[in-house]
Amino acid sequence: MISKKICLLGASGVGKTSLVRRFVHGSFSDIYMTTIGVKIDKKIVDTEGESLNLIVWDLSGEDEFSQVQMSYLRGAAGYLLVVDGTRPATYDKALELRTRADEAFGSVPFVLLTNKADITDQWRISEQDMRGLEAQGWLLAKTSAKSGAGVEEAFLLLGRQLLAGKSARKSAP
Amino acid sequence: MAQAPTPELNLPPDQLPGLFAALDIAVLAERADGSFHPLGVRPAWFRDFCPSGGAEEPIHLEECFLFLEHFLVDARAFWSKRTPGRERSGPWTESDPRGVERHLEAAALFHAEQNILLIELLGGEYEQKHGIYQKARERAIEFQKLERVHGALQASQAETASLLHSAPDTTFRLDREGRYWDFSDIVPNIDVPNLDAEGGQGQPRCVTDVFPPGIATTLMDSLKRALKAGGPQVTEYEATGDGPRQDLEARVVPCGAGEVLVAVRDITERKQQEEQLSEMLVQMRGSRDDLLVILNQLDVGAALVDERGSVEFLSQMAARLLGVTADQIQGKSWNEMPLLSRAQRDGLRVVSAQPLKLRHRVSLRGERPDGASFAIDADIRDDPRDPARRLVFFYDVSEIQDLRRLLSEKDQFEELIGKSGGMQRVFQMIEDLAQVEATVLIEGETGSGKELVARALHRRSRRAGKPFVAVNCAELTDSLAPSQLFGHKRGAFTGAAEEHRGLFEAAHGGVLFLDEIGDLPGAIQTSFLRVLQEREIRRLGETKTRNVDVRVVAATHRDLPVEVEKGSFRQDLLYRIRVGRVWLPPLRERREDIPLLANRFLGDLRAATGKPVRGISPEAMRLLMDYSWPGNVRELRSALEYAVVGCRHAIIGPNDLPPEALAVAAQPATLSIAASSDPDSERSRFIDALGQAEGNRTHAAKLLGMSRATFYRRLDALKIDPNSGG
Repeated sequence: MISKKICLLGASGVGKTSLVRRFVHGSFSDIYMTTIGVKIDKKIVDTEGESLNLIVWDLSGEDEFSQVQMSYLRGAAGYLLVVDGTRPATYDKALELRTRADEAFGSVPFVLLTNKADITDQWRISEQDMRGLEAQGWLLAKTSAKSGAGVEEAFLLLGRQLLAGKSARKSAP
Repeated sequence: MAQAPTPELNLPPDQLPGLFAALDIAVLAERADGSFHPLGVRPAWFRDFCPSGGAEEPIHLEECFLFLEHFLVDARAFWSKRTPGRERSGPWTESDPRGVERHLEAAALFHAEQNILLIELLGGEYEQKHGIYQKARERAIEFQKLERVHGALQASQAETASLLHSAPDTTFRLDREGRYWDFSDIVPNIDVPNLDAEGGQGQPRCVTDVFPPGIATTLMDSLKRALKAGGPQVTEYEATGDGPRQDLEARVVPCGAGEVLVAVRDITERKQQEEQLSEMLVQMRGSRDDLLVILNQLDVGAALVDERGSVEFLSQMAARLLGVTADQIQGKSWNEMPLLSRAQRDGLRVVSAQPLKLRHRVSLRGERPDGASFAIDADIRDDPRDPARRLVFFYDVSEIQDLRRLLSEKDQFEELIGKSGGMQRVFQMIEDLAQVEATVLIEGETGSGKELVARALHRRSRRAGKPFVAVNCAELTDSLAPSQLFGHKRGAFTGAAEEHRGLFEAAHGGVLFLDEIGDLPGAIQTSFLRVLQEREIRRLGETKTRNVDVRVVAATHRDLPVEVEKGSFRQDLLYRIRVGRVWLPPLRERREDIPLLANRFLGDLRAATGKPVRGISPEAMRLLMDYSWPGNVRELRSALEYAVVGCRHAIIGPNDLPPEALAVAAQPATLSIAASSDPDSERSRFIDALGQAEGNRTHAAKLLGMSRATFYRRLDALKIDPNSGG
């Protein structure tokens, strides 16, 4: 069976750990628990008839108190960039992290997840920005760790990219 | 991934497996094939991850821990350098095969030609750090949400304002009789029946011919009032007809020669909008109240400042944050805000006058009259209703400030540990002195860490890559000192079979640390002074001099001016070595550092001894805090070592502590054996220690925080017979 390491990157509090919990354990908690360092889980998924063992590295979010350790991306086949739709600053942070990841480890497949899709009425991320990224070939997904909507699909989307061995983007923004 | 010096395990190799047996930290050595074998018994939690692997069975760590596949790349790069130190992984969280989540950290060491890997299950310190991060991040996210609420409020107000004023006008000119002559004047934007129809035969039409009687009368009244007042008159009326209801507004403006210009505007839509607006305002007022409640919940104060800079409104929260009552400040300018300094008031005024885009948050820091400190950020926005006025939001950032300080607080400086004010001053002094080349004298009691200060000074200076040579002056004798310090030529004296480089030459380019400089033999002091002045040495038996580039750092526990008075230390040498000074506070004067030091030592001892001792009970910690620590940090470490060795539980209790610390609770006064430069009190300190140790000299030396050799030498100097107890 093929094993692939993937990482979750994003600002603090965007819901990375909740997405992993929803994806791996199928559960959700409203209580925010910050991550220190890195938290590792794994899950086997079936992608287009093929079993894929995803080793999920949930990296501590970046904020004024700590920086994402880009070295954790070493050996990762791809990553999920997570944004909180209600906090525009997390979108800017995701763009910055994508640039840093690219500089550190070159181009690998990634998917940008806009999380908290259960409260889209409170989203403050411009649709135009999203369409711009999409036009540049970025793969985007809307997820809600709370309701579970789009979570499995987002991980599978990245999984398919890994198996296809192709980059999630066509060109840099 | 920080590197720290590798602690030396000064134990015979055959004792290592036994020592590791009780370790709760997994200690593994790498084999030639890249697998590992455990040193000592593997902890239970480790066996959960790696169920197989006996003492001789290879363990493939990458298969047991997902994280280690990553970290072993870094570890092997580190081992390949074969240097001392430590490569840390940083914390990680991983579930064992039973699904139990564990917080772990690994470290790679190169020791005794072996690649060693330590894997530690993280406990209390990790939880504490996690708690701090948790709280800091929760607050940061809350503040981001608050800013979003402000944005919503402002957008809503701007939208409301944009609803006002629209609709084009229909205009025409009337004479004082209410007749209009020039049809080309008519701008027929509003459908007023017959307005643009001629009266026939070149006769003018009159408003009374066109408008219904009620409206015509209203317009004629406005016309007369406008001509009389010489200014515009505005009249609203409702046009009734077959169609839907129409609200109109007539603006009658005198335009000379007894004529008026009438502008009729359809305000039906505006009227509807005003009604909607009125409803919206009611709703907004409600939501504004809600927002205020939210703001108050989020510790946000608000103030409204008029165009002159006077405070029009101050919310209760703002008043509380700024330490005033609303009555005190309302109607007054920023300059009268009592809590703020002049610079802060000026800062607020300057930022307030800047265009919105250039404005930044103003940090207000200081103390309230009751001595409590405050940290407030002021965000100055335009009032959407009037850009000349300002809305000021005050954020209480005291807690974030504290958390930020807590996260950034340095409680370790090189190998020195301490968060007390005294130690922070020492750290700053070291930083300052590291930038210059001056000779430094470090003063402090025995065991307070003088050599660590010297080493920190060396590491932080430009001489960091060069030698650090330490010598204890108390061990130098009159006869040997010149050779030891300056070296000798072959045959310079009996037994001088080889050329010998002295300590000064050995330290060339680096730092020579002279511990216990007060004990430097008198005869040597003169030569030493000359070297400091001339920066050159002459080996014993040679005539030529050699240049040396050495920074001298000296240390003493003695009061050197007293030694100068007694004639045992040269005054000119004192002045020469005392250019830079660092005074290390005794441990009893920085008791707040005791828990920090005790926990740090406990962690080190746990790793070195393998005893699964997890912490110190509050009672034992209280005793440690109460004890006077005459032997300072060294004695504290000894006490912890004593406690760890004797402790049979996971937590060190009072009974595990050495008797002298226990005696604090029973009889605090009897244990005051603090160091002193006065020979009499020094003598009684030694006698007290011997008494407490019941004549056991090793124990007495330990109580005083000094080595047995130093203890014996001091006994001799103080003329104390240990067998007679004084």
